[in-house]
Parts: sequence; C-alpha cells; structure tokens
Amino acid sequence: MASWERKALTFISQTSEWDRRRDIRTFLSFGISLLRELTGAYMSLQLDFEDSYTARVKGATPVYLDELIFNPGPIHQLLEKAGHRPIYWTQIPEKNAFEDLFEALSSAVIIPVRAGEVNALIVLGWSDIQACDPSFREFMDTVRTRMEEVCRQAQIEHTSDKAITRYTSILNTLSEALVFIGGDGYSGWVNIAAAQILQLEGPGEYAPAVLSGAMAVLIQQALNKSEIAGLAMQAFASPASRVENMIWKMVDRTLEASCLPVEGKGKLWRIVSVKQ
Amino acid sequence: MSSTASVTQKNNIHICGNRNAAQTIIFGHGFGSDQTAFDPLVKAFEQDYKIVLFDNVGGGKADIEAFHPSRYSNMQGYVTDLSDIIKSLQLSHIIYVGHSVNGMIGLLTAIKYPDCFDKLILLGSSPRYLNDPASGYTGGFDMEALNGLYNAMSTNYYAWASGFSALVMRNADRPHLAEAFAASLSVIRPDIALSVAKAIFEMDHREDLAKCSVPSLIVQTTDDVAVPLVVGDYLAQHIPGSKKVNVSATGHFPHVVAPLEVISAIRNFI
Repeated sequence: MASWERKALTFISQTSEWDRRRDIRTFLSFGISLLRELTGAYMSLQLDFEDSYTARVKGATPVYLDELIFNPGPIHQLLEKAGHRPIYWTQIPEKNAFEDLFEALSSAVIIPVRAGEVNALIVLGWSDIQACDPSFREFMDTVRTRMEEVCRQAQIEHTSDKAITRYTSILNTLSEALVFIGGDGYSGWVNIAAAQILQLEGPGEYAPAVLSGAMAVLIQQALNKSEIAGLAMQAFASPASRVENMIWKMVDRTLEASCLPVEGKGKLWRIVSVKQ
Repeated sequence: MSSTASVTQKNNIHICGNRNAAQTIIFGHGFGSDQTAFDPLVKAFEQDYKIVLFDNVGGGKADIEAFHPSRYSNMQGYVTDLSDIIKSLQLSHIIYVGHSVNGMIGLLTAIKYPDCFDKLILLGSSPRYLNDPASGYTGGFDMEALNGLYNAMSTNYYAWASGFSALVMRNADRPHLAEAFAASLSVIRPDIALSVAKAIFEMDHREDLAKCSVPSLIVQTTDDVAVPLVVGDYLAQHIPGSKKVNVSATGHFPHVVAPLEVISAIRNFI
C-alpha cells in the first residue's frame, strides 16, 4: 500500500471515535495535530472565519501565530477562485492573501472545511518544497472529507442533544404524568410526574417491560382494577386504538388515564389526578 | 472603492507634514482619545516628517460600522488594521508614536514588519494592566477593580466617563484637559467602549516585548494611574535595547499635559 494511502487510513482510524464525542473544537485541534504529524509540516493552523471581518488563527504551531487576525476578503476571493477546493502551493506565491503568514516557508496547502457550524481553513506549511503529487492530493481529499464528516456528525449530535434537552424540560414541567411505550418493544420514557406515580427512580428512559410492570402494579392497587383491565384491553387492541378518560379509583385519590397512539411510534399514557 | 480609500475611511486617516520626507511619523492614540490629541506634536514635526494620523476603529471619527466585537476582542484586530494602513499607504522608515494601548499595537506590528519601522516611541504604554501575583508583576489593576470599572461603565457610562477622565488626566489645575478627554470618551458608543476596555485591560503582551527588534523609547510620567512607574521599568527591562525617559508631568497623557517635554524627548531619540 502506498505511503499516502496508509496515512489516510491512519487518519480515519485515529479519528474514528470523534464523531460521537461532539466536541468539534477539540476535534479540529486534534485533527490538525495529527495531520501535521502525518505530513511532516512545519506550520499548521486553523483559520476560523468568525464573521465577514474576522479570520482568526487558532491551534497554531508555532504557537506565536495564535490569535492573529486576517482580513477574510482576499482569502474568500482566493477560495472562490479555487472553487472551494484544497489549494496546493508547491511554491508559495510571493504575494498572497495570507500576507506574511508563510514567510520563510516554501510550500503550503490550504484546506477549506465547511460543515455544521465550522467555517474554517486548515493551513499547512513546509520549509522545503512539497511535490503535492496525485496520491498526496488524494490523501488531503480524504482528510478533508473525514473532517467535514466528523464536524457534520458532531453538529447533528449537538443539535439533537439540544432538542432533546428542550423537549424533555418542557415535558418534565407538565403536571400530567406521561408514559411513552415504544411500538418497537425496546423504548420507553416517563416524565417526572409519571416517575412519581409509578414509583420509579426518576424520569427518563426505561425498557417497556419495566414501565408495563410499574403500571400493572399501580393498576393492581386500584379499587376498580377489573374495569380498568377491560378498558386497557381496548387500548391494546391495535396500534391505532385509543382509550380516553379512564377512571382509576385509588385508595387515596382518583386518576384519569388516557392511552393515545403516537403516529405509529407507540403509545402515550397520560395520567392526571382528578377530584371526584 | 479602492483598498486605500477604504482603509482611509475606515480609520479616518489624515496625512500631513512634509510629504517628501524620508521618514514618516505615525501617531496612534489611546483608548477614548483620538488623533487630535497629538496636535502639538504634529506641529513640532510637520516640517521635517511626513505625518500620518488615524483613529482606532471604535474611537474618534473612525468608521463605526467597521467595529466588530470579534475582530477587536484583542489587540490583533488593531494590529491588522495598522498593518493595512502601512501597506495601503506604502509606508516605510516609520517612526511610530503610540499612546497607551496604541504603543502596544505599534510594538506588535513592528514585530510583524520590523523592516518598516525605524523607531518606536511608547507613551504611557503597558503590556498588561492586570497584576499577576504569581509572577510578581504589578500592572496596576486587580480583577476586582476591573469588574468595578466595567460595572460603572455599564450602569452609567457618561458619569463614568467624567470621573475616569479626571482620574487619568490628573492636572486638576487645568480642568479643560479632563473635560476634553471626557467629551472624547462620551462620543464612543458605550457598548463599544466596554468591549474595547475589556480587550485592553485584560491583554497580556509581556512575552512579546522581547521579540521587538526596533529601537524603542519609553516615555513615562511620574504619576500615572493606569501605568505605574514599575510598568515603565518593566518595559525598559524587557524590550531589547530600549531607552526610558521620565517626563516631569502627571497623568496618563504625557503628550497632552507636557507636549514640549515629550517633543524634546522624541527629538533627542530620533
């Protein structure tokens, strides 16, 4: 296997866990260090386009380049001209969009990374002239694809986390007890109020069997358990069936329970205390 | 608009003096001030030098639309601006006179482009305003004092501007000086002033001082609330081959309160 192919595989394997770690910033810093090591670059950095007036250097080697600010305009022009593809300078042009960044360096590679919230360049520089042959360019393409993939996946995870947190907070704020039992037989979820009624440890994910068991225990304590069992049979007659406003007479209170289908995903039990 | 025109407008650049002179003096003002603060110095040098005056983005008559908190969250945004000025005006053989924060901006730019600079003159400059007990460095402020300052700026900016001006200008016998600075501070948008103040007061460029290879003069007053005497000594010790002059004046604005002394010190140095 050719050297650059082997290095591409190394890059992919070393970054295999990152799309689940969700920390894009740390990933970019790790990815750039790994890239510098694999390519033997003298200089490596991330140039973040923070806004249309600010391109800031981060994670630089040598470190004194960190926090330098560049005007994004000329760099955007360069990228547009290159069709937003990686730019290979086997010999760095004397006048370039990066001003004196490449002083005393011979070759450079500029890799645009745009995925999720990341809009940055990875910049590598070498003191000696780099050939930038087709296999090297393929390696860089692989690295770029992998970095964008991780950034995109991390962004999806991050967005999902935010949405889950938001909806969980909303559902936990409701006074109604909500019990979701997934139609797949593997997923189940309760909010705070439901966890209290069912005497579970807390809100969150539970196996459907655990939730069914807890609900059975609750129903067993009802004074009208035979009536409830009959109505519950109707609820489970088909995935689309629904039973609303069942009355569960408990020793100390009365509950009103409804079982609603959730768009083919399972059933949602809604239980509220009512005054009799 | 050409890049020169855009830079000129952005930083409200004015060029005067002897345009055929071999050397150019660039004057860079400090926080809350503007290029007019150098009027007496400009008059003293305009016959023999090309003079370039500018306003920092966020201050004076610089383009307010050009202020972006991210770009100016530390000194590097200003360094890029100064580099843009130098390149667009094709300046060389620069004598840079920077007051307060602009002294550091000049020094950082001179580190990037040492060949463009002949001399650096730092008026009331500091590499770090915060004390650093771990290293024994005295900058003059602790974090509690800075939080108090930010709080005062946020709650009643104009009252703060008035009080701060008197405090840093000193020279109570010449109240018009503090009033002029207060007026200059008051025209800055409060949110921009707070953002710039944070960037300045929390910067730390001590490690950059040793990288400066341009001959430098440090001008210090005897009683500067923003830059204690020990900070001037620190600069002199850490900028290779630098010289230090104490002018017999008080306050943070030597060029405003004692222009003749500052002119003399600059003349002797350049």
